[in-house]
Amino acid sequence: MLHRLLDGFATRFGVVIAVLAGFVLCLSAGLYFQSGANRVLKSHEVFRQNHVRDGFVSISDMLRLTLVVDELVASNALTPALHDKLLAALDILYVRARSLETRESTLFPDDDAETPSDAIFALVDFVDGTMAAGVHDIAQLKLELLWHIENTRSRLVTFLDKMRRQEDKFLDQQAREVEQQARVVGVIFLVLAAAMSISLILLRKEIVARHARARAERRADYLAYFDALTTLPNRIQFTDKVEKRLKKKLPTGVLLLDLDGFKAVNDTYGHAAGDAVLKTTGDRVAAAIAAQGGIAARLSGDEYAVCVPFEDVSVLEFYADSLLEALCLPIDFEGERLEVQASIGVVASEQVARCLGLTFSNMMRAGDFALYASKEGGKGRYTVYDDALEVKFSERRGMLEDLEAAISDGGLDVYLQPKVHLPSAVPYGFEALVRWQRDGKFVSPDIFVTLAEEAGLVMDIDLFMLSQATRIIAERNAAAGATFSVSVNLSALHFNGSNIVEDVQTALERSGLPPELLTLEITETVQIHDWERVRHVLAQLGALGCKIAIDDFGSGYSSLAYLRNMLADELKVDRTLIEEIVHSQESQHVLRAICELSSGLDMSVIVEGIEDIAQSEVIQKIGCARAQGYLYGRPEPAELAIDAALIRVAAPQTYAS
Amino acid sequence: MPRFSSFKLAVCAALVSLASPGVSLASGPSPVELTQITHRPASLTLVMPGGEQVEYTPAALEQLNTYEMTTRTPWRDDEAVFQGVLLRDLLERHGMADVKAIRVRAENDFTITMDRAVWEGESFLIATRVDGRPHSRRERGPIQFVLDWDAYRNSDVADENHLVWMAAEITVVE
Repeated sequence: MLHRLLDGFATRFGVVIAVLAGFVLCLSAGLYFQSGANRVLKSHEVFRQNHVRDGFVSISDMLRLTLVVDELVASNALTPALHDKLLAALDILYVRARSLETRESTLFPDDDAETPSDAIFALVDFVDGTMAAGVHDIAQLKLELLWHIENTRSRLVTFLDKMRRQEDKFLDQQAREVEQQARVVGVIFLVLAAAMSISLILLRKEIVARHARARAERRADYLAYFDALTTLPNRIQFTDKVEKRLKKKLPTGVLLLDLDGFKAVNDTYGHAAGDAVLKTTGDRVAAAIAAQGGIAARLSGDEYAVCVPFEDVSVLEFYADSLLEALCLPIDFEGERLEVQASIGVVASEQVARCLGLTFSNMMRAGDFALYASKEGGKGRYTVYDDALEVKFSERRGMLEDLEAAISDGGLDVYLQPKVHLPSAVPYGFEALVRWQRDGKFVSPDIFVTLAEEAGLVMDIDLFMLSQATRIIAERNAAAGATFSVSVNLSALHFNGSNIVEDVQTALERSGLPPELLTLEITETVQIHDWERVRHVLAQLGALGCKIAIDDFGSGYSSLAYLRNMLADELKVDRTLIEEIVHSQESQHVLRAICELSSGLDMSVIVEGIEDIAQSEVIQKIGCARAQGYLYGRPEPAELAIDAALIRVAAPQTYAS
Repeated sequence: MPRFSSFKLAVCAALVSLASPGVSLASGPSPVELTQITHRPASLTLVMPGGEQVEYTPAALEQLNTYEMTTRTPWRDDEAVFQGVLLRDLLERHGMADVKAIRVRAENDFTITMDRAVWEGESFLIATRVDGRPHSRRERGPIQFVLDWDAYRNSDVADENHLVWMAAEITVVE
């Protein structure tokens, strides 16, 4: 309510009204005070005019005359001196009467009673007349004078009484006036105090809001250029600064860091531990280059970057060494010792200028490539982007360009590997696997899928495979009257905001493949932050009718978190578990446990990587009813694989030792 | 030297005339020759610092330079020609021009003290005649202190109390 009122006041209209109201209030108060002051001044005029004094002095003048009369009686003769005195006393009375006359008519205009001035004039007229006629009887004169004096005196007393009442009235008026004005002043002060309070509240509101805005702006500025967690400069600031250096052609070395084992810390100890690692790493990176005036930044996730003002490789190597050393120190977190290490890619501006052209993006690409080389070379190390790496980098770039072309031109091949029931080994479906021939030679999927993942092309490959595999299987099923299912790999990247549900639906509609014959195999290759969204997407996919499988279960990537969160229908046990299964009791225990686990979760289990009969027998003993592996069929071009499967369906064979 | 435009000069002239209003309008006492007449019996006594007294009749006063002034008074609605001598001249004649103050008493015992600033600031006429006639007591004479009406109205120092009528005595206040 108050806020709405204040907001109303704070509008342009509100301010105009408030100012006008204040102005009108002040003006009317001023006018009121002025009229009050005028009334007070007017009544004060009465006192200033000496009205009362005139009355009293008249009595004194009467006394003067009385004294002259006394003298006259004493001397019993009107001597010239007494004559002068008598005249003087009369003259004085006369003038006084003139003054009184004016006052009487002003103060009591409606009073018809005989006034003191009338009495005085009668007295003066009497004496003037007596003097003109000649004074014969002093005693008689005295008597008549005393009568006049007495008459005048009584009139004067009445006059003074009236005056006193008049003055009382004026005083009362003044008192009332003052009281009234005090009330008005009180009200005005109250109104002003209220207005002032409102203004102060508004002002305070405005100041608080301004501070909040300033804080928010500072925070926004900070967040725009700094990473909130580590307080290091962020990618934007790093880009700005490095770009400036490169434009000025200043010698520049960039070290790109990526933590090894960070994900494991996050998964094992939680995000708070992950944050502690990131923060400590930030501090260590900043400390390592502090002395040299370089820039340390956190680019994203567990990626950091350092820019130093050197391009001498031996100096950069020194930095890389000291960073590796600093970063492999264990980190204490709530009593736990967290261990991570870093891989580093080192790149010097001189090398990039010579080979690629000196731009920021080339520096970063070269750095990324060197970092990638470190990871590939075994992690916990640094790699300098040099001529040898440059050659590999060019190769990789060439391959990437070709891969992009192959994806867009449909130059990838769909291979199918049969999935079989045990013990009959009759194929019931296939896993669709992508193959790529570059210049007539197969490129290992390990190489080009990894490349596609790094280059963000993996989703395109998935979609290509989805549409192709569903089309091929649907066509052949229709032709042969078969009901082969097909599994297509989907990267978990699809869950981070793509249209995978629509894409699957489109593929199903176009191919006509019954949804239950499509299995989507999800591999955890990226960290999933929004499980809620994943569950939502999986539920939608499930609603379409297709099945979900967790791929490579048991390898480093698939975790129990996946198992718990994914509404999967199938669990694909990774080949690494099977490699040792014949001789390793532990592996057998693990597989048995997985089987029990999946039956508890109402999932079917399929074992990958079965290469020989011994492995097949072991898993059958454990209770696995589905398998996939070289023993049952290698990945082959789709048509060939389906032909072979159809033959086997027609004439099943048993694999036994 | 800065050159004033005619407009600026006009403004300056207007300001000067505003700053001294009524200077040209005030008509103080002007010298006049008076013929002898018979005055009513009256006297104005000067009491010097040492107690020495000098008594002036209206005729004796008129031995000083005489002036006249046409004005009204608080008790006259119509103008009259007042003639007499200047209070300043009378005081100067007796070396009382630089005294701190004087006290004036009237026949009716009214008394007022006038600081020097009052008689220096305004030209008081000690009127002995009105409209050519001897001043009478009933007209607030025979000896009356008169000021030009405008000067009286605008005066910062003089008020009605200084317009003493039936003046009888001037005493130096030390």
